Amino acid sequence: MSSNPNNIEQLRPHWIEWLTGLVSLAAICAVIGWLAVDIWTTDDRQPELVARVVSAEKVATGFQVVFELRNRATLAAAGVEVRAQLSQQARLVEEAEVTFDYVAAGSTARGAVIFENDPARLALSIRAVGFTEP
Amino acid sequence: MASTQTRQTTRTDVDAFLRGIARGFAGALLFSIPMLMTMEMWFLGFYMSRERLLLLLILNMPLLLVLSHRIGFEHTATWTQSARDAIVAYGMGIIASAAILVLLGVVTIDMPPDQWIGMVAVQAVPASIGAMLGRSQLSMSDDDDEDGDNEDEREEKPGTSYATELFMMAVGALFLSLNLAPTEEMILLAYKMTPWHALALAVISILLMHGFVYALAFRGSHSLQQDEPRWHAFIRFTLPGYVVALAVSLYALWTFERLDGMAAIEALLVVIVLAFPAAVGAAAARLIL
Repeated sequence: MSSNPNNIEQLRPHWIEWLTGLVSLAAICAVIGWLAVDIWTTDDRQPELVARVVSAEKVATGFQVVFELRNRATLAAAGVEVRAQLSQQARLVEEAEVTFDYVAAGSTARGAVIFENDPARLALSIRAVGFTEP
Repeated sequence: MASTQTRQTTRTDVDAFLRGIARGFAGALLFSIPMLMTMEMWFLGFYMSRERLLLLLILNMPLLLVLSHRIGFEHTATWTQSARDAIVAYGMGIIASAAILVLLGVVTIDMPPDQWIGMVAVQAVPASIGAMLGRSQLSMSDDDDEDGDNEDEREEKPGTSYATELFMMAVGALFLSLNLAPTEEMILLAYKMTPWHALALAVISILLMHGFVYALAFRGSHSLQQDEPRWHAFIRFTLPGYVVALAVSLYALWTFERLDGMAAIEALLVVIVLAFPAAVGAAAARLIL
């Protein structure tokens, strides 16, 4: 036994410590490998944002349309401004806007717009109109 | 005569206990003020998922219990005493958080209960860990004479094992993670960084962890035996420590709903960013606790 009994390094290691160490090594290699593969296989693509309507329902103050914004590229977008429009035969009836702080690469973010008119009876379009780079 | 002696003993115990309570509050404040004054933490209190908050609150109990058994108030011996002290620390965490939030005007009377309970609950976790650590860390001066005995006791206790060492790293990692995971900066940093940056950060984190504990001659440094190769401790302690830091970071980010809807590779970058402070916290915990 060593002079400092508080020092765990100087006790004889149990096999489980080596096992933990090796499993950890494997886990870290997996993480680093994943990053490395990502570096080699993907190239930087500017954010590409696509909105998809999730649900539309009547609420106390109007009609609430919940939508999902997906960023299909490999770079994140910040301050994403989304504009939703209700139109009837190319005539704009109503417009609503919402801003997302971030939409990460390959990820989705949810938001909602609230209209006075029922979107079910009109043509609804939701699209991102601008963003900044984080 | 006998009764006087008994009374004196009791009196001393009460004094020591009250002093412990005061130190606990001091610790709770010292460790939780950065979080109490962080905007994101207040908002989390009312929007975070109740299931995840509940899980955090429940997981905090065994954490405090083991922490208490290891270092806690009055060098507790039995698990019953440890449990009592863990509950006291938890209670102090809740009271201290609530008091400070009221004092700062974040929690007000007209707020619905669901909101302020959530706010206090999420703050109580780091505050209770602080209360527990505060008790042990702020009381070094008058416990110095006991240190020799403690080390002998520790050696006999089965608790100071490899598992305890990993547990202490997890506590240190959790502590810094809870501080930083709620902030927007973690996500922003991950977005600004390329995978190359992340790779470098992961390697630096591991080297820093190893360096903190073995290379720098801090108080409580763990020295290696002469005949043992350097990489032994690296495999047995540093690498598992970094995995613990990664796991704790992932848990903290998941709890605070920072990874929801995020692609796996992006989530990995955020975890690596948070694992950097977590790794430093884990290494520091090995030295301090």
